[in-house]
Amino acid sequence: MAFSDSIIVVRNLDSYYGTRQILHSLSFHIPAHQIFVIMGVSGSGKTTLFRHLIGLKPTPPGKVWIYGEDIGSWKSGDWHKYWQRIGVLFQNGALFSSMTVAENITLPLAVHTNLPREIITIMVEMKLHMVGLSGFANYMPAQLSGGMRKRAGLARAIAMDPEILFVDEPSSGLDPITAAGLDDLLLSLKEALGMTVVVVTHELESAFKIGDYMIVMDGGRILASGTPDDVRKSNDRRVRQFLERRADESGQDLEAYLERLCTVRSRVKS
Amino acid sequence: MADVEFRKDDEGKGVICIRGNLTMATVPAVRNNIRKLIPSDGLKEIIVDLASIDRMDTAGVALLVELCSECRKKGCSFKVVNPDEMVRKVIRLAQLEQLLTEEGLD
Repeated sequence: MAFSDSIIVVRNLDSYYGTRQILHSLSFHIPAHQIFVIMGVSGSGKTTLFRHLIGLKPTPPGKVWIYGEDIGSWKSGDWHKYWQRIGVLFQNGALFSSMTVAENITLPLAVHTNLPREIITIMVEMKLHMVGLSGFANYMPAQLSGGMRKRAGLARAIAMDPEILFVDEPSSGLDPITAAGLDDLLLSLKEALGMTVVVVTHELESAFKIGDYMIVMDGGRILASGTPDDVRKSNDRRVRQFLERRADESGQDLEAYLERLCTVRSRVKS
Repeated sequence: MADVEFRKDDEGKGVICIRGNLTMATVPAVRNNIRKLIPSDGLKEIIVDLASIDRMDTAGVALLVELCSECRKKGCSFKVVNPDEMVRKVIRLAQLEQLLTEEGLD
């Protein structure tokens, strides 16, 4: 996989919240027209990385290139152009609560294209059908379940057939059958439209089903990267624990845990 | 960019050929051209030939659906022919394979 085929290149990216370092010198690249999965347990830094890639967290110059451009030097106008080329599904769907589902999906098409109303109406119904929400066009977000809101959010994220689709935890809140359908839809979007899809998830089954390339993160660092087969073969202890869904059970960490408990106990005056 | 050609035979069969991209950027113009070229009545069948499409997205599929809908209102039959594999995948993504036939154009 050459850098020239990459739509996003990340080199030595650090990230902080205040003085606390969240990401430690991350380097990887995301190839065009593939599904790239960012995996890791809660608190591994994957959502912070996601926020850098969609422009919700400022990135210093010389760290991240998208379409060959250094996003650290982008001005507000560059970000607005970029946001028109991407679709983003946030964990909670992030729908506008005062609009119906159809109005939420219509919005980007009405604002950013010259498509006539009749075509937009057909496209909105088509996108709802793709996510399994035919018949819910006139519902308000508050009338939908969490999983349905998420699917409606996906319909809005793909309204414009974006070049890059960013998806944060696509399976959370969905039943297994719906989650599997959503995985199939992401694969179809890649196949049919050549979409580049960036997925943040801790769902192993989904990640290995859809991912062409992946990274496994822990403590703000990349522990493993490559194809699903590369990651499966990793000998890193924490990667093995993650893949085998085991909590950290090394003797060293248990000792540290015991030490913490003893410290807490000793603070209590008898 | 996209071009539209229309031809009609004496038996009421009309063929729309679209060339180039049928995407969000081109659909408004392609739609206007089709409206100018196609007679409002006198057609029994409309065939859309997609052999020369370079790229199509879901806005292109929506345009085909709109044409299909207008044909149905007029009692005119509607077919989409000669999609290449990429175009077929986009139509399949929209779960509208029923728009397609396996027949090519003579």
